[in-house]
Amino acid sequence: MTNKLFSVRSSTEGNSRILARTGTLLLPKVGQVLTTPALLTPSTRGTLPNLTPDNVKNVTNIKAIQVSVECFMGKLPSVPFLKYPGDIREIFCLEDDMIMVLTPRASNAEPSNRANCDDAIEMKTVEGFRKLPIKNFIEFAQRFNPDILVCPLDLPDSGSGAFPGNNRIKKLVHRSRCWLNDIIEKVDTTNDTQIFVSVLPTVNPFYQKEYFSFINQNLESIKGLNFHPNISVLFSDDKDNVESSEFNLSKPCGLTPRDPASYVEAVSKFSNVAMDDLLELPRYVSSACTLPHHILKLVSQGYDLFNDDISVAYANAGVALDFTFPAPPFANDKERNFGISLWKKMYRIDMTSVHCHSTDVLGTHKKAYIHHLLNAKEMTSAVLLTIHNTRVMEDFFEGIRRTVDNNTFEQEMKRFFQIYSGDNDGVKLLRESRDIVPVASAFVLDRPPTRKLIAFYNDDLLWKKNNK
Amino acid sequence: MPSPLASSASKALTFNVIAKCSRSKARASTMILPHGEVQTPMFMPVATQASLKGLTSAQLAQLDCKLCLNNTYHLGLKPGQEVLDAVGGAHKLQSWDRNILTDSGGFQMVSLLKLATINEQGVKFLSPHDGTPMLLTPEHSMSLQNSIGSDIIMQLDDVVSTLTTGPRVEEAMWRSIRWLDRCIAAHKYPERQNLFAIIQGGIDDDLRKICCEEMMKRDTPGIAIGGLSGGEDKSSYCRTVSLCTDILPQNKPRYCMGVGYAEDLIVSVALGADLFDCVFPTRTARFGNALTSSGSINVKKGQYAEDFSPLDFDCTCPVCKPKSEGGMGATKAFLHHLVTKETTGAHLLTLHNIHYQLNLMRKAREAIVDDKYPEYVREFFSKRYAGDKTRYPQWCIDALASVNIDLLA
Repeated sequence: MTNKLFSVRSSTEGNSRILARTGTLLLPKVGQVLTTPALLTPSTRGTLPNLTPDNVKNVTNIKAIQVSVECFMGKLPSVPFLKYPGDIREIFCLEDDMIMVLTPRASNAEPSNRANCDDAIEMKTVEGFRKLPIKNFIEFAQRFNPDILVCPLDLPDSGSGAFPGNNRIKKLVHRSRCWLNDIIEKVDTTNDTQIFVSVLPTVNPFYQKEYFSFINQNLESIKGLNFHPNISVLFSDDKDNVESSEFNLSKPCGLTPRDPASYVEAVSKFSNVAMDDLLELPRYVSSACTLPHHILKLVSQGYDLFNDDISVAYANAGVALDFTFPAPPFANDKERNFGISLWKKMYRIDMTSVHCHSTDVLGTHKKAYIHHLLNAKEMTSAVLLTIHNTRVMEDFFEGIRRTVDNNTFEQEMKRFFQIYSGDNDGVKLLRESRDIVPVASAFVLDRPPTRKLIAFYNDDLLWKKNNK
Repeated sequence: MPSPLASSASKALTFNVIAKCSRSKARASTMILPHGEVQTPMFMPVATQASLKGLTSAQLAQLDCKLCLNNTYHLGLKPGQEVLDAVGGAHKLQSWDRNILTDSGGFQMVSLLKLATINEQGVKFLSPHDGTPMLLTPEHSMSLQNSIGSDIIMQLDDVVSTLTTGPRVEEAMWRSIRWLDRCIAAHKYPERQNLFAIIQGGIDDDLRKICCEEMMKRDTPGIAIGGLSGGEDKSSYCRTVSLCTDILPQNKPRYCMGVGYAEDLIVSVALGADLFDCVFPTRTARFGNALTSSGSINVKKGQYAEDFSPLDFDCTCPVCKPKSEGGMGATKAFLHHLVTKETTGAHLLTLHNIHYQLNLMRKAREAIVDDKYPEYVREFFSKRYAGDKTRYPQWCIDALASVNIDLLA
């Protein structure tokens, strides 16, 4: 069987280490074609963080958004939006042709320390602990009518860092299979909803046999694979931490394999699925990437779809991203930061544009203005930075696709790593900025959920004081 | 074009009254400022710290706002005068090529600085950021507003709470007059920035009269009625505004400071005021309140969770307008889901509320030009109170009756 909706355009598969590929994904429901590697913009509560729908339409090129069910759990079992008679895109004030990917959880979700049940997932949402019964998830899937539906997984709490034991693995595989079965049976895919199956992270493919033979039987209904690669070991050269394509069958669990192709290879070995069929499915990364370096590494491993958690995280931290792919030619190859923290005092009278190498979307808004807005705790800083950062990421992906097509991806990736200070400095930049940043979104990484979102802004505090 | 009914021209401001209501004191005029023409009556949204909470200047311009406020006190602290001078003023800083009005910082003495002490020299207060003692004088206020570069600048006035009685009110009134003289002397750019005087005097008719006469002698391009909207009863407010507009020259703009409730705007226009400002519409938006023709609604309420209708069916703002007409087509259910949880919820309601205020005044102007202002007022109250005349506030009925508009007709 060939997957008609996704086709690989060009790939660098001749090389053993670099498996980057470009492709086109047809989304007949909204009449769109997504060229991959592509970016999905995560939404919270049906809106894009910091961007009102008019800004999304007028100043960004966002084509695809990720919607997570956990944002709508507040009023379960009676969810108001599910009663809306029309297309859910109307309710969210989105354009009719906006591609929507529905996932159970947000990419930067808080892990829940409550155990899942046979028929429900436990979640920690901004509104507290919530249980999402699979039957409700299916109801969401039917009403939201997404272009891509990502199946839920029975993931144990990964917050503790411990791997599930043998018995838990059995349960994990069994439940995930049952839930997938429910979804394939009950979700109507005649209206072009594409089901993406989640590959069980941390579980050795050998122990996923039951799951995969089920996938094999239902290959007709499955249009893509969803991975949860472990971002923290991406750059680890330690062979013990990263599973090679040769799986150690004595260990039921471990970290996910180095790349999806070797994973698929292993899977086909154990489950008699013809490998080619699985290789031609689009691969979606649902883990949150916090650095452009992560994305490049994952692209080089052959992943196709990514969440843009970077734009908003850095915007909320007051950081304007400043990088392109391929990296611009610099006079000396000294390391550079891939973003600038506009909190820094040096920008207070800097009337130059925020963009250096990327497309200019902010026009007349200069660094000094955003510095002032951050300093004055005005929400507009996050709005402007989100607009800017989103464009930087869009340009970044445009560059990735171009270099994969003309076979220069590998060398450009190496040059990018040389020029932009990677991991440590990037995280430091985010941390430092975040320490002084107001909480502007319900889903700021590493912070407990808060309801005092807008009240933070000092005008309101003063108002309350005066009205006591 | 017909010749204006009354007009005045100074170096940086031309004011033409183009129509007057045949019954009330309402008037429609055009005012040409250094950054373009504005039409009054008009509501000016408040961008306190050089940004309208969460909106971009492009979004504000899209609402057809021609004049917005900045606050001298806040801009003086952040980003500070040195930065304003270096970047070339507030217009450049916030990418706003339309008009800006700045308040002098006098009001913040009442609203923010409990520990401020006022003497003839100026206002002494402790910096809210680092606690260092600071002194705001008329000269300093002028210098700051010159650095900001706003099109209309306000004199520093001695603001006392409206509820104050006794000699302090009179002292503040006389001091405001003396401070106006010092402001005029210190104002560096009268050719590109318009200094407005501010009438003080509490709710004392005699003091207000004296203050109007004295301020008029100084012949500023425009005059503001200050010291109101601070908790006084509405009938005193109306009486004071009406008294001032009777005395003030016909050919100059009158700015009624700190007024933002829809009823107050409608009544004040009838009493002859031209310009208004208030943080109310934008602040209330952040608490989930939407202004509609039938009054304010709080979309946080559970009853709106499944309400798939727009905030206001008559509204033509980008938020309420259906998608087929180029708007966003937001419903109450969506806004209910967002407000106080996502910043975009606040942004959307802010957009809606500013549009409501601007549109209320735009429509009032059209009505005045057509000489149908009394009808417009009656229609406004009828919609607001669902046609129930028994619910009309008595102060509105009385104030409008004083300018020959019979609300109950």
